[in-house]
Amino acid sequence: MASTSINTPGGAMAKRPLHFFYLCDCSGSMSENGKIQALNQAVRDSIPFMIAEADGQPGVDLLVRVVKFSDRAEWHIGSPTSVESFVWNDLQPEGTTLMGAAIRMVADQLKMPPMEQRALPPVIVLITDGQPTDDAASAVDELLSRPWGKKAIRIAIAIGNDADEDILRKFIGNKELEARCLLQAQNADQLVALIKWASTAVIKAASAPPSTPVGASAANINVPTPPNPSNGNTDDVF
Amino acid sequence: MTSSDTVSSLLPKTADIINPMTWMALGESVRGASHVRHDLPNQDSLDYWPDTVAKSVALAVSDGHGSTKCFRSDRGSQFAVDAAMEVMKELAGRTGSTADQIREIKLLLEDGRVARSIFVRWNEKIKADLARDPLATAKHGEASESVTAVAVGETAGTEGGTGTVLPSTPNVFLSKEEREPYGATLLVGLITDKFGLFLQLGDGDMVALTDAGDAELVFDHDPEQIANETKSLCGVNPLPDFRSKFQVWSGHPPKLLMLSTDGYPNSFSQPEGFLKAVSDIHGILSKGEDGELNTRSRLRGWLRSASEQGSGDDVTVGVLYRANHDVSHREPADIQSGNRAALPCDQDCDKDRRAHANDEPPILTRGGFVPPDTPHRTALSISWGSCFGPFGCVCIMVVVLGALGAFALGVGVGAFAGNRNWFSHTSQPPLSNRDDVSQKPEKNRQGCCNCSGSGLK
Repeated sequence: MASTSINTPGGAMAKRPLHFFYLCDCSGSMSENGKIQALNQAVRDSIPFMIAEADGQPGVDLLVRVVKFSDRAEWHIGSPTSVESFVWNDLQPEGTTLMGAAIRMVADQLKMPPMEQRALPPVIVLITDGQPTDDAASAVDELLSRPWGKKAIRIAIAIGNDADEDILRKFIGNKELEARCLLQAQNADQLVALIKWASTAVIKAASAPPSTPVGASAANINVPTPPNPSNGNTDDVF
Repeated sequence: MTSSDTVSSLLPKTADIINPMTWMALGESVRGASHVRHDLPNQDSLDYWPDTVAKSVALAVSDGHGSTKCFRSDRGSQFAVDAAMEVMKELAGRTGSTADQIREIKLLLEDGRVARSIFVRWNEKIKADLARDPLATAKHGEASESVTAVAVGETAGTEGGTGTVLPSTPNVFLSKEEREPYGATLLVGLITDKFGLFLQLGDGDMVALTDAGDAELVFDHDPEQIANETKSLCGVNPLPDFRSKFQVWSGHPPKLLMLSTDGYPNSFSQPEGFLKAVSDIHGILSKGEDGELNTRSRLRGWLRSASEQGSGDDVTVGVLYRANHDVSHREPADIQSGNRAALPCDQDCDKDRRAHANDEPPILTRGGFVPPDTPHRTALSISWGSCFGPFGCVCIMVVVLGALGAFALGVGVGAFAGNRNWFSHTSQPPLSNRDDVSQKPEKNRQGCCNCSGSGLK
């Protein structure tokens, strides 16, 4: 949010934008075993923690957007929304899995403009339970061809065992980061824990990134260690 | 090494060089709000030379990376500005009035020897630091192949007497592993009455305010440098990443040159806002000596405000500007002490320190920069600052008449003596112009009133 202070030289000042994207699978398979209910609950429950995390980061304006994809990809929250105003409306499952279209929508938003030079590294969290039904591989290529797409922190959460791991690996784009960025939720508790982690610990890491030499590493952010996947009720699997 | 297309290819003859002009430098560095929150030091560094009006002035700022691997980057940034200033002083010392001498310096810049000399010295300083304080895993003496390839085969010095600008240490470069803890950016400017020399490695911005009043980036933004990734002195082979420009003042030189670490431009919601800041600061500076004193006493507060309302990062700004008012009636030492004694130190610096400790917003008293939420401070500031402001004449008259009256009554001697502190040199111990003084005792020092950014006047 820009400050309108006139007490200092120059124009209005503002915290640096940190763009956070959820890409949520709403295909028909998400209606099975309570997956969509778990996803809706997990995101909704994570919001207060997200707000608290953003509050603790000077110089950061956390802005949330959400893309849902099934038979088509569309913005669930299309405007960059300050986390304090972030309200979660439940997703409804239906149809196929146009994951590639959803990734392209985010890739378009990572062009410069609309991205600002001064932005912090974006965070993209892709949540899916199945196989894409469109050309997701080329969409990932497009995302990674964008400077901001390449520098984004990309987290993939597979719900259950049926997600396409190959495309998720391609989305992560860095073998060294797969252990921390390619995650699997086998039950609702694990999904809650992973979404909470992505919306707090990852945001914290993205909020205060130290400067690093260009090309020093494929990822310029130290992605924190995700929660232990063995947590949760193992009897209640997806 | 890339060079400006706008650099004058045809140097003017001596007779074409415009009349000598004088310059001054100023600057401040503040610890970022985020660094305060996370208990990190200020990893930026700043130095300028000299402190007085001069025909040649130099300025360097550097931003230490602060990453886990760059755990000594606060030292690295200090070494970078130290190295740069050594080289700039040597270049300024060899500045003559002939086109040949100017052409020689231009050549040193454009063939990369200036950048290389700075890099060599930065390596030497790291080497000395490693000797004093070794890294647990450092592999001393293991030179980086890629960088060494640049160094080996080059000869010391240059025909025509470049002397020490190019040290005779062709294999001095440390390995990337040894340099990495000290990783930092570097921006350098040298301005004389004849030419300007500009050098940049990594992020941050260098802005020139043209004679027509347009604020322009000296180097365009590098599209690779986003998301806190930057070219660096600790890169695998940093020498080709230096960008340089050389400009002979065949017409009007810029009014002002500002160098800043990225914490300052990143604090503005729009890039234009940052460029406007350059114009605004010049607008205040150009109000004669009063404007200069005002800027010097306000700059720290402005930068702190930028970090708190904006990026949260360390913020460092250095300025070289045309000293366009008549200073002939004041000796350089007076100007220097006057700048630093803009506030009566024994009173207001203590207030300022308290203001800093409480993270209060900057108190800006002139040029319309008065925060609306501090009316009591406004009243106080008019009292102290009226010598400069639009109410100055009235207040001066009141003060002078009061003092004369008191003097006539024989009771105003003490107050009169106290007010003489306005332009007298302070005996307070010097403070660094970087926030974390303890981190950098050898920093470019300024007087007591350097802590006056919050500007309790």
